[in-house]
Amino acid sequence: MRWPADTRALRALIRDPMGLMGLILVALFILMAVAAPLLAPYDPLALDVRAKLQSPSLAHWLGTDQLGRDTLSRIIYGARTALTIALTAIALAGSIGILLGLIAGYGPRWLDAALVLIFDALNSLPMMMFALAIITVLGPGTGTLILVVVLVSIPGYARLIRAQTLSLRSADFIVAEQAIGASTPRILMHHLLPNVIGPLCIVLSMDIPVVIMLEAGLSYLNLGVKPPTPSWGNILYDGYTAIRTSSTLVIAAGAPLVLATLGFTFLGEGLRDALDPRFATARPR
Amino acid sequence: MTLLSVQDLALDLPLRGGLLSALNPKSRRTLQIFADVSFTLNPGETLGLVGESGSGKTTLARALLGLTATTNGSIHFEGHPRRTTGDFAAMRRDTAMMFQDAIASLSPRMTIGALLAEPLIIHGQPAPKIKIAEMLALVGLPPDFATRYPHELSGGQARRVGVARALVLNPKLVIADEPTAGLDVSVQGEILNLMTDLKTRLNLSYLIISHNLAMVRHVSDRIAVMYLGRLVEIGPTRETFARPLHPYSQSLIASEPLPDPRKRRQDLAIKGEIPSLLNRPKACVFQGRCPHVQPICRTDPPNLREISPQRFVRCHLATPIGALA
Amino acid sequence: MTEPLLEIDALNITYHTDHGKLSALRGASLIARTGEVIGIVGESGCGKSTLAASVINLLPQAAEVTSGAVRYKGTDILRLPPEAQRALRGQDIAMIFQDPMTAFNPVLTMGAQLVDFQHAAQIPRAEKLTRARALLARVGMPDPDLTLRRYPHQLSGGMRQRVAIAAALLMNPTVLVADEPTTALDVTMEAQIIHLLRDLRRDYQGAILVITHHLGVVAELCDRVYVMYAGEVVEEAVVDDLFHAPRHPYTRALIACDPGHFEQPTPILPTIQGRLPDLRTPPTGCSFAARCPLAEAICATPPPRIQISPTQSALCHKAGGQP
Repeated sequence: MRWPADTRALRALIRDPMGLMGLILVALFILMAVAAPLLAPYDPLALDVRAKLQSPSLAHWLGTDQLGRDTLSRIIYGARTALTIALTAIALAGSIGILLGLIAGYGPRWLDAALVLIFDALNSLPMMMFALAIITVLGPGTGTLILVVVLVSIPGYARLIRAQTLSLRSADFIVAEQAIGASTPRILMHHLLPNVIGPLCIVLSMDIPVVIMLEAGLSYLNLGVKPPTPSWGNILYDGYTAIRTSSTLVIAAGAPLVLATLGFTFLGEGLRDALDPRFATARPR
Repeated sequence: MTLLSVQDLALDLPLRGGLLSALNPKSRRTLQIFADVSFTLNPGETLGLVGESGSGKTTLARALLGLTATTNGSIHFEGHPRRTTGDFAAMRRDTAMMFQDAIASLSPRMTIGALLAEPLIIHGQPAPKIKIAEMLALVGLPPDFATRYPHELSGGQARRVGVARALVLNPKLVIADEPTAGLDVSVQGEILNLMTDLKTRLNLSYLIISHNLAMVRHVSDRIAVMYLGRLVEIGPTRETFARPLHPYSQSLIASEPLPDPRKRRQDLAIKGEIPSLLNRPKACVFQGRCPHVQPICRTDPPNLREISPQRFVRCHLATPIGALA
Repeated sequence: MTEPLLEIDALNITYHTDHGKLSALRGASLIARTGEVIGIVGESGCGKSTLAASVINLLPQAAEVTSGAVRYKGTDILRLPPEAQRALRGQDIAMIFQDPMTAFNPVLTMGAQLVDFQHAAQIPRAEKLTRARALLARVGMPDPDLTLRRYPHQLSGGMRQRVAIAAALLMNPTVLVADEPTTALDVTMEAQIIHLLRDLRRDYQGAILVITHHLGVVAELCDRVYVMYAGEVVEEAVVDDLFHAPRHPYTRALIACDPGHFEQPTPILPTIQGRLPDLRTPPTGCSFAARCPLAEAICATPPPRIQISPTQSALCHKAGGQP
């Protein structure tokens, strides 16, 4: 399967200054996460109580925290935490959403009605309350965090896929596949999926920063990633408690959070414009 | 033996009412798409199904292949009744469909090669590249078309791919829905000639659905005229065009603009328009527009009757010579 | 002979596309006089829609008029300032589209739109409504008052086309351009719209341009015909001559291909071999030569426009001989 729009879309993305910036920020962020062990000058968990709350220096470019851990190393590893959680949660939610959306859109009417009812029910819960309730029951932690994101995101993704599938289920090429005897799984996977997934990809890429923010927010409240695992939220919290002594920590953890969020958002918006069919037609001079 | 035989086929779709109608089954209304459809198709024969938009001809075509459920009547293909999904699945190898919008009927993210291989793969047959090239050659396309995508094709080329895809499994019956819609006249001839040529070479039967009388006339052995979900006339093409028996067939043939300014139509053959399916006339469906309408047409629904050998008409007033009072 | 109402003079239009410049019109000329129904016929890609768009100056942005003129009562409308062009559109020159659904606003009633189309007229609203009602009756709408209260989607295709014709006539235009007016309609509705247009021309003080690919519509409706191929007018003739004494090989081939032209069924229909030339690099000689059964060496040079009679001409080296 080839995506005919691919190279054209990529070129359009790079031509757009916002899209290009998004692409660069996201690339840096991913590099930081993947190459964390190579980039980090110290072990992010190594304590050095004698060197606590130091200001930036040649030895510790971004200083240290209350326990003397190197902030730069913790930020770099924090990127890994954020990315792992965001990608895992979004990938899980995306796959389940796609599957449920395809089933709802292509399956029998009663199944569609039942699934839509469930999506609506999930959607009607206030997200924060829902998240807090799950965390209260299961206890904070990475797994809980991912579960919360998945449960909250599925209805939106599934609805998007369902709407696209509904509009295509009686398209000529689908009826044509039925007429040559294609099985339902074949129609779903070979013919519907490639044609409905585009818009979802954009939504997914724009949801990654939302998850990163959520992770940071909950970790800051000590409801997310459990210390001592480095997370930007945890670092922010540490910085908050030490803000009277040093503001380095807050800035050091806040900046990458802002940049990563901006990067993914720009990339998502750039992708949306680049893949928009209205831009795909021949543009007059 | 007849290849396809259809008896009293009917389709009613439920009208979606409000919540109250769901609670009270008696108040549920249905919309009749077509009814009392009976005809046969012999091996090697081409039947042209003509009618205007809203006559139900496309839905009927899909119902014949089990792509749309029916509410009444029976379909026999090669002598076996086709009722369940399994029955229809068993005949998929021997039937094929060509769609009105050829480009839209090709899955947009697959190459032409993959699209041609797909029927073979689905039915567990080998699909070597040579076979794909053969199919492309059969419909007059060069082999490098296998790597193209549907949106890269012109209307005529997409039609050819549609023909190739329909024939790749060596079917016995091909249902072609408006095979020349949207094509220029010069290309239209190419596609029809190709279909005629392949029909004799591969011993196919066609059911050709169209609103284009001039086209149907040249490719069909028999024609069936549909109006508002009813077959109103069936007969051999030549005789039906020479002496249409049903008033609707008469006005349809008389409405076709002829490419000759010396034969300008002076009077309107037919006034008014097809009623909505929601306001289907009782008794004869054509009564509202018929120039010959009689009281009986408003009270008794006419049956499709064989008025002379091979010629069937659904009209109280039709006579074997075609002229009406 | 009356003065031309509309004159298209050696018009050249180029489209700037991603794949280079495309010559959509190459020296197309046309004359329409008051009281005439002009047919412009050709297959897809021949430039007939571009020609129609140039008349009301609704060319797409990518189009560039490289030379030539479109004169309405002697004034070149392509060189008028935009406001003057807008004033001309709708008042003097009106258009009927192939799909009337797209010409109407789906959320306004027909009455509101028919009144709105008359925004330039300095008459009270009630009078505009009266006029709309009268025109709806004129185009054969069975219940004009009801139609005024209807939304576009509540009308059938044929009815919408009637309303579109009424809308086009609201401002009493002198040139009416109908782009494929019956293509989206069924045979019986097509016959009715042809009948209506033919009926209208009797009391209509202007010219009607009918753009179509359907030779049957041309034969039924038009007085004079321009046949277009690859951006050029290849033949111009009175309708009877066009069908009974065509001189350009393309016209002959086009008529031969129309299945409606055979009395008896034929197993093999005629076709035109080959393809339309690539208009990014139009041939220097005759554009039909590559597909023409009569083509000779001379056809590689630009063909002359041979005047066969005062009303008939053909763009062909070989049109001079006997038909």
